[in-house]
Amino acid sequence: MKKSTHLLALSLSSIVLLGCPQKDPEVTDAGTTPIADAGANSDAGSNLDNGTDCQTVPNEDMGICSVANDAYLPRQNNSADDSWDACISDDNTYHLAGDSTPSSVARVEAFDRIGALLWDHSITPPADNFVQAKLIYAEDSGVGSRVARRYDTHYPKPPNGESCQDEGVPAQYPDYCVGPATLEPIINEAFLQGGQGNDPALNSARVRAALMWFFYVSAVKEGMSCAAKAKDCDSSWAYHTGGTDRDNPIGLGRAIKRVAPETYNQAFDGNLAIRCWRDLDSAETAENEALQLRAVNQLDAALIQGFAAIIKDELDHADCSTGLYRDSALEFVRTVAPLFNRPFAEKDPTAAAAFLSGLEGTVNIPTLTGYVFNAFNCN
Amino acid sequence: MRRMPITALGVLCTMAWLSSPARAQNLEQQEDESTAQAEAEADKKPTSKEIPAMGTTIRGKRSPTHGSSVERAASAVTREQLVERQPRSAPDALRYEPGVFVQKTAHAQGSAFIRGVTGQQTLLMFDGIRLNNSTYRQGPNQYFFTLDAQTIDSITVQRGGASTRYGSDAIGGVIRARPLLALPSTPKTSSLKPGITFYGASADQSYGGRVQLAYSQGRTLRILAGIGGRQVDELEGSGVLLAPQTKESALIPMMRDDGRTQAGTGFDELTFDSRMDYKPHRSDTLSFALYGYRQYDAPRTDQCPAAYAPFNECLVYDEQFRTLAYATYQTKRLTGFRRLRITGSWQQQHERKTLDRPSSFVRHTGRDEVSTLGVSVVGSLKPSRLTPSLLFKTRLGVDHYADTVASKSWTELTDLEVLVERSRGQYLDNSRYHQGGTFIDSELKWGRVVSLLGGARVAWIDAQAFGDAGSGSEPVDTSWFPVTGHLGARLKLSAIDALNLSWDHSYRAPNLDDLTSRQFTGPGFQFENAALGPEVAHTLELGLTRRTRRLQWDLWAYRTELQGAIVRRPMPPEDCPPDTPGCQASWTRFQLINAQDPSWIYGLEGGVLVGFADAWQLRVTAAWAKGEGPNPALLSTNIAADERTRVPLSRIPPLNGTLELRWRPSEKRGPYAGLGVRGAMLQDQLALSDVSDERIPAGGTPGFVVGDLRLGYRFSRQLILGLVMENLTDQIYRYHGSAINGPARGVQMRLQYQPNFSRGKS
Repeated sequence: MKKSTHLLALSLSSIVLLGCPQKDPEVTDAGTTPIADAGANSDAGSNLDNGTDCQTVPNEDMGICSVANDAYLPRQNNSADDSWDACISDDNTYHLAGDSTPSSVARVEAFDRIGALLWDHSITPPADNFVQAKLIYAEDSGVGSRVARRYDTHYPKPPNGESCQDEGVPAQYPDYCVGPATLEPIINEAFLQGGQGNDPALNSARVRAALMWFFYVSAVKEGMSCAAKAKDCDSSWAYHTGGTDRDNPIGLGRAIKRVAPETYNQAFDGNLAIRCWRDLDSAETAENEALQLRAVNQLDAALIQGFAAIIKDELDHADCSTGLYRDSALEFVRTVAPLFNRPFAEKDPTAAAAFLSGLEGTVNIPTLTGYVFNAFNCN
Repeated sequence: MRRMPITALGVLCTMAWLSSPARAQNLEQQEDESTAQAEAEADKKPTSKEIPAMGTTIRGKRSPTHGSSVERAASAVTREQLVERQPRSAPDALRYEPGVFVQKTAHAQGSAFIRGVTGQQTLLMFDGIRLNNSTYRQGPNQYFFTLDAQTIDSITVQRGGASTRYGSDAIGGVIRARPLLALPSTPKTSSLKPGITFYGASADQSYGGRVQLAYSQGRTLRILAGIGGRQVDELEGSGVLLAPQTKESALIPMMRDDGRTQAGTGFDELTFDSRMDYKPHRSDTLSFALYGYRQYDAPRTDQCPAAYAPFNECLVYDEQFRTLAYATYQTKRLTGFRRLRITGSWQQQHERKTLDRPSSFVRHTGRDEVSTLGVSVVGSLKPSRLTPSLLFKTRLGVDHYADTVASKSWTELTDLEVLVERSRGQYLDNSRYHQGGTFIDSELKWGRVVSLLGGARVAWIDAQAFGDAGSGSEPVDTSWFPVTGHLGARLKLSAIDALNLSWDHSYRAPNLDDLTSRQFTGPGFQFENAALGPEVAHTLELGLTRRTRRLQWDLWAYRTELQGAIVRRPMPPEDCPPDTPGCQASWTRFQLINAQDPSWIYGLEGGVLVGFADAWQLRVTAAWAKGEGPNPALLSTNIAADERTRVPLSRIPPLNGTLELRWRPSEKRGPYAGLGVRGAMLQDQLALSDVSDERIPAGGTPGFVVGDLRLGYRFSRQLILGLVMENLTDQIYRYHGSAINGPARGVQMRLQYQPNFSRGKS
């Protein structure tokens, strides 16, 4: 019996040794710079010849487009002169539909934090800034989490109830599943290359371009999904403006306002139109689809015009700059051009095709600028 | 990382050893004794007049609920019922208990709601030792799942407040599990006997087993050791649940292409245990025990993936471990005491979880560990007869538990091979929490007609946590000294009928989860409140019971008033703590606060057990509860959408019930059969946090009725083959608040050879 007791003890000891926890992971040296400090440390590569940077001073170069006859006009006599019924937006202020500030504001703010690391201070941000920026991008429920699920409502849904979150669907429907199929690979690769110290000027431009298109697609998508969830109207407004008042946008809104202030205001009017529609159509699930489309189209048209102004400004910037500054501006345009092709082609399919092909190989910037100007000129 | 090879290796090695000829000697199954809860519950010899509540016993046989000094609303699951019902886990074992509703956020998890509350507001115990530690969450948790059902002899559910005896958290009730013990052999003999159990199920393609050795030397020494393992694949449900309001598919869980298999539901499991019970004297028992649970790669289903997230995003508990070691000394020889039990325990809860987002090349990892040292001294004094008809009994004790929390988190960029440690984990690292108290509980019996009861506890709680400047986490340095108590009376209306009335004052002190944690919960991101105070429950309970040889029934009504209830207040993003981007970016955010006005939970529970034609039993239970409290949104700035002054409490179970019909012509051997039916009504009374919880479909959780058929054969008391044909009608169903649907129609099988299995006298 003693022997069996020993066996028992041996067996028990071996059992106890099973199932020890994993060791904690070892923190790497890279990426340890506090995020708050990283923006200031952005002069890496300053000893290199980055070229010359010419600051453009755009001011609605392509003119101010007239809005549709049935547009919502809160800035004109508090909407008294348009065809819309009185609604919550008539005071020319955005009033939340949901309980509180939308969470999308945090993602727009994250875009600005990424900008502080990658493009606000230097044309050649150091590799560590890319790492820090990726950490911001990768935050819980952060901008990366939404890029991964973003779909573009301008394209038809996949059939049979398939969703962009399903395996294989993004590859089959890359236009509709623009986030996982197109934007996310661009951003991932740019962060990877930049984080490894490769082509920081180009990779920061790629991140900027892809994220700005993400905010555009998101603003329109949330305007559409607002029919089922009223608080998505707030997200639409937030993805455009960062959830600010009309005069102080951040993110995409600030970028549009810089190059085309009135176009930005028209887009803001579009946000107010969406909120107005949801106020007038306040059932839990909206019922007035026609009014919704009027509102969303008003926003969409202004945002596209604004994006065209941004592209033209980047081309102007590239035209008057040299070295990395030129390359970076062109890379922004190259990144966004395939995405912008849909609205471009709606204006002028020939010019849109020529614009895309013109970005390949040796670039003739004035020609490219002409394509954009002619298609989107509202003078 | 799959660990099944380790599990399989362990099981195979032990099986190989066990396959050698057993040198078994005489073993006589004589005794049904446990050290578990022995200080209170094994005091008395059973009588047919003291059969416990809710019809879990019949024919006057002894039950785990036997022995409490007063009838409270309680029920029990015996070993025999565990064998016949074949629950997949310890929480699943409670599905047929009245007033208990088992929610599942994952297949590898289960949280029992008792009278509408769960998590921190219910107390889990194993062999008289608290399992609750200071990181138990407000909502459902996975910790009762970390008890291996194969090592449990019985589980008792005591409904209603019980802080006097058990301390903090015992607001909704107490779940007490008792361990299996080796049986003694006949005097002056010894025996060594192996036991083995295999089980499997078709719905989740699971298979597992347990091997154990039982050694006994007369009545002096008993050793039981075992190891178990299980591999569980993804759970097949019966289809996609439709939301009652929209008729659209529930977003959680994600279904595989067959429309039935639920993503994020598989896991692996390894368990080990050993205990020694030594009697140096016939009135003394010294016990040493070790219980280990190791769970690997268990996804949290509602986050695997989360609603709207890509298919390959998944939050997985890579490791969910619990280790409990303890020693007890119990004596009946101390002057003035009928029994005294001293316990020292050490428990470690270890969790490592990873949120993997491969399409973004990002992985978030967190590791949390809680080590708990506990000590308790509990005894019952010898009854004193004040007059020939007045008998006075007293129990008293003191206990103390000390937690130390280690918590870290990291973010890894997998393509860049960069790993960064965040400034804090889910909890504040190196936090400490002490809680304990001393109590006295007395009963005055006047003949056989009236019993009066009363008790009180003086408790102490101390919470300490260092602040974290980087994340704006406030330090915690708080103490509370609550005093609680209860009063009760039992009136025997006749030889078989009794009226029970009790008032209980229980409490729950905020724990480190409330005071320091930041986490994504089902309803949204929740952040801490270092200024919380205790919540206090007053429960008034009235019960009518009848006990006869063939018929038992219970009917209980209760009303619990929660003062200062800790609830989730919706918060705007601008009120998020600094450097916590997950908070601002979450769709919804909550902070725990003490409600200023009282909350109420009231309900009815009942059960009937009928024995007929010798071999047949019918057991029916039902429970209904309703809860409401002040609208926490009204206390928030910038949140004004819901202006109701009072709203339903979160995840209160709907009207639900069970039916079990059982046929068993012989107690010892032969066939048995049974039918088990569970049902619940639609629950559309939703709290604010329920509406934003993707686990709950739009408009609430649909009702259901599900039936299981049980068949088996007892070749002997030791060798049993059992089958359960579950979900006979292939019903799509979900327990309210769960992230998974119940198993599809399928078969469960269990083959058990356990020579020491005799404890299942129900």
